[in-house]
Amino acid sequence: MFRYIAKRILFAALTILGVVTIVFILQRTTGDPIATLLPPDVPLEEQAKLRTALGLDQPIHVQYGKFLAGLVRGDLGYSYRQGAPALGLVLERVPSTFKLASAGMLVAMAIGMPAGVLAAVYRGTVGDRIVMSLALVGQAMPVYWTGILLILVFSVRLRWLPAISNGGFVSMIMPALAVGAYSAARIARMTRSSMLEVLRMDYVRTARSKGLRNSAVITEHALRNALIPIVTVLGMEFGSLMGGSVIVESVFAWPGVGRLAVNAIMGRDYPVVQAVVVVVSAIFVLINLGVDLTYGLLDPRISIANTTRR
Amino acid sequence: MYLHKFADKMQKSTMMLVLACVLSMCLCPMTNTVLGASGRAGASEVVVAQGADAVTLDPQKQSDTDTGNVCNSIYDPLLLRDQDMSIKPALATDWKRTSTTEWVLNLRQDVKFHNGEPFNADAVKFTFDRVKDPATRALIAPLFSTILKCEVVGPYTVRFVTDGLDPVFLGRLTNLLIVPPKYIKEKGDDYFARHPVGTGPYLFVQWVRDDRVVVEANDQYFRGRPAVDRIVWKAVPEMATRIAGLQTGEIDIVQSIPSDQIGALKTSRSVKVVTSPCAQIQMLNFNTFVAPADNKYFRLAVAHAIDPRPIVDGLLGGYASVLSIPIADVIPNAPKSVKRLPYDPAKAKEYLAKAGYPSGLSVEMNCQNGKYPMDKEIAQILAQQLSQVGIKVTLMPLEFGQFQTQMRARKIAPLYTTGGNNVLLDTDPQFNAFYGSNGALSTYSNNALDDLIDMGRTSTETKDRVAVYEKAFALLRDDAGGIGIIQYTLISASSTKVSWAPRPDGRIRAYDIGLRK
Repeated sequence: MFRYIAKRILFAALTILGVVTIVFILQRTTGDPIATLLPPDVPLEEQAKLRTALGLDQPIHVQYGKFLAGLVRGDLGYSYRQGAPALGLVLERVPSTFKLASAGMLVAMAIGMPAGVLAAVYRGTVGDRIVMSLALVGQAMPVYWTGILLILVFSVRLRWLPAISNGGFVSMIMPALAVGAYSAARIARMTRSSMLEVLRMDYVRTARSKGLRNSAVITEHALRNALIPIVTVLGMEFGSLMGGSVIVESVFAWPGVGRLAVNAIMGRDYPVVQAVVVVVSAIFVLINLGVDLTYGLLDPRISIANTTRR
Repeated sequence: MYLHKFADKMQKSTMMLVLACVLSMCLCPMTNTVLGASGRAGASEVVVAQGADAVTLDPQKQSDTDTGNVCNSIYDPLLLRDQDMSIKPALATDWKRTSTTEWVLNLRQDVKFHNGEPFNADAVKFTFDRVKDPATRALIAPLFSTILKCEVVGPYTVRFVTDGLDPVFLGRLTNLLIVPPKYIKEKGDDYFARHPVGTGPYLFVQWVRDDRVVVEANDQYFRGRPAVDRIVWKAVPEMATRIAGLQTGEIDIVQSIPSDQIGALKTSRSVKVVTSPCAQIQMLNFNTFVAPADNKYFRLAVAHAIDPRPIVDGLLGGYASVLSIPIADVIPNAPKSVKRLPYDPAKAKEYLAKAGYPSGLSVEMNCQNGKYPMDKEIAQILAQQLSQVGIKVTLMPLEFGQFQTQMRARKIAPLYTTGGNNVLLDTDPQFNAFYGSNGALSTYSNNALDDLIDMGRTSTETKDRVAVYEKAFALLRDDAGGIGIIQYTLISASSTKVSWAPRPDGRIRAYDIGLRK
């Protein structure tokens, strides 16, 4: 298994390098960072001075070489706008993004999985149609709109919850609901289809014919075997959320990686954009690795050790 | 197999452990904070919401308004702009021009930095030298490009030497926030940027990145203790959320509210809407280096074909004013007597025919998208007006950075609308940037206008300079080099517990915030 993990990490490093190289080149085609750093009426010679100070006057291959040398040392450069180490700026926002992503996933799982199971078990009934309709609405509603709606109802109208994040638990409820509502819809649909497939299996019929209670059949036999595609979706959703839920972070003034990334892109703060890409790619790869390892826990027929020996 | 057996035994407890970890992460307060002085119970607090967090608390490494507002609550400049934009003493008590290129300033002798370090001439020289040092990468350095050096004349007297006569010198000094030399040398730049120490009305308390900066009243402040005990600069990117926060009482001051979003606030009893004319404008410019904008008659046709009144009355709900010339009237030395060319579609068609396009033409037009309020929509209305005289416009909005790059490279479309602001509140930098032959953003060239720009720099007397700029703007109008469209009205809102008024320069000065009794 360790060989497998080592191999995955090596491939992950190459993937991250590839992604960051593409980003390095692409963002330099979008224009000049000086245009967004200085007031528009600054004389051209002053712009040139800053360009030199930031090393932007050097050929792109020299800039890339310096970037790679820094990457090896764990130094991703200084933010043009914030004057602080880019990697540190990203890492200090990871905990709050993790909090929002985790809370959103808890909401999504708490709503999406039971809803999907119920829809599968009561397939074709009114309940199934209601759940699936709600899932469709959940996926179709823009997160921005959901967020503003939550604020208008629970903050402005009812005065139950704060409109703006203050880092506490209460102020996390609405952002988590906004993030979770979208993911819940996806999880519900995936759970339903996966469960329907499993419920048709012989071993479920056997379990039922043995006289097992319906609830036991569903939770211990059907759901467990239906979990693999669900876990895959959960991993993907969590990975995406760890990349920063830009819209929710903006609507609820949540200080996360997504907002940092958007501000850096808009301000052409190259070092910060590169640092975000490195960190988010690494997190995504780790989550995928975690998901792959979970398959073995869920289904004993999947052996990572055997896979690597082949 | 081992993994499976292990999973069977451990699954439930592991799941519970993971769940507990996640929950505890969710429940614990955010930890990425920088703490300074401790808070006090029962103190008055005002929350000011801005679109973005401070990017740094090192006042020399910032150039945006949101960061500038936060820094100005912690630091003081040598001179400051009053509510009416006139220049007043701050850390400097008085000033005198001793020759064409030299200014001598006397400093206050009763001021200390928040850490007890004395404020004196050495601090001013250190601050200026730090700005000019390329290693600092000071984003405000271009504002001081005309000042060559700062010399210590006495413990509380400094001399600045400029590169030729600089009529904007005093305005420049309103942007020089003084920093503590000893503290920075001891702690280093990175530490200083996160744990700021100034002489300003508020002391730094806490900074949670992308969330808030908290400052607390400086009891020893030389202009008297601020009226509010504690100010929270809160970063709230979404305007809709800022407005909701005002309605719920979580926020006390919001600035730059779009005119279409103040309806809900006007009916609220706990919120008052306040307005001010400001330096932000929209103008229609020409890239005179490409056809058809290189043709004066085409430009005059455009000038007579557009009417800003529907933009002011309809699109912006009256929260703007029609501009006669492409500069805001709040700039102290902007001329007031030059009138715009009248809206006259018949005349526009005549000029179009003279330009060689009797049956009209198609032309591309760029505009900004979201940088200034309703900028794209303003361009859409202008495009529609132009189509009525036979100028069919293909409108192409650009992201701000891309727009700037295209404009600087003079590769922008023949017609373009652009927002403009005026950091130094002086006609010269803005006028030269947009219309001088060597201006950083200029797509227009006229030797006679360049001569007038140079002439405007030969005096520091406002009256003399206004007379020169009257001629310059009249020349620009008659050559249709650039057309003023609208001047924005700054719309702000504050809770009724707060006593505060917006400023024409769009800055929020923490010291000016009071509480209603």
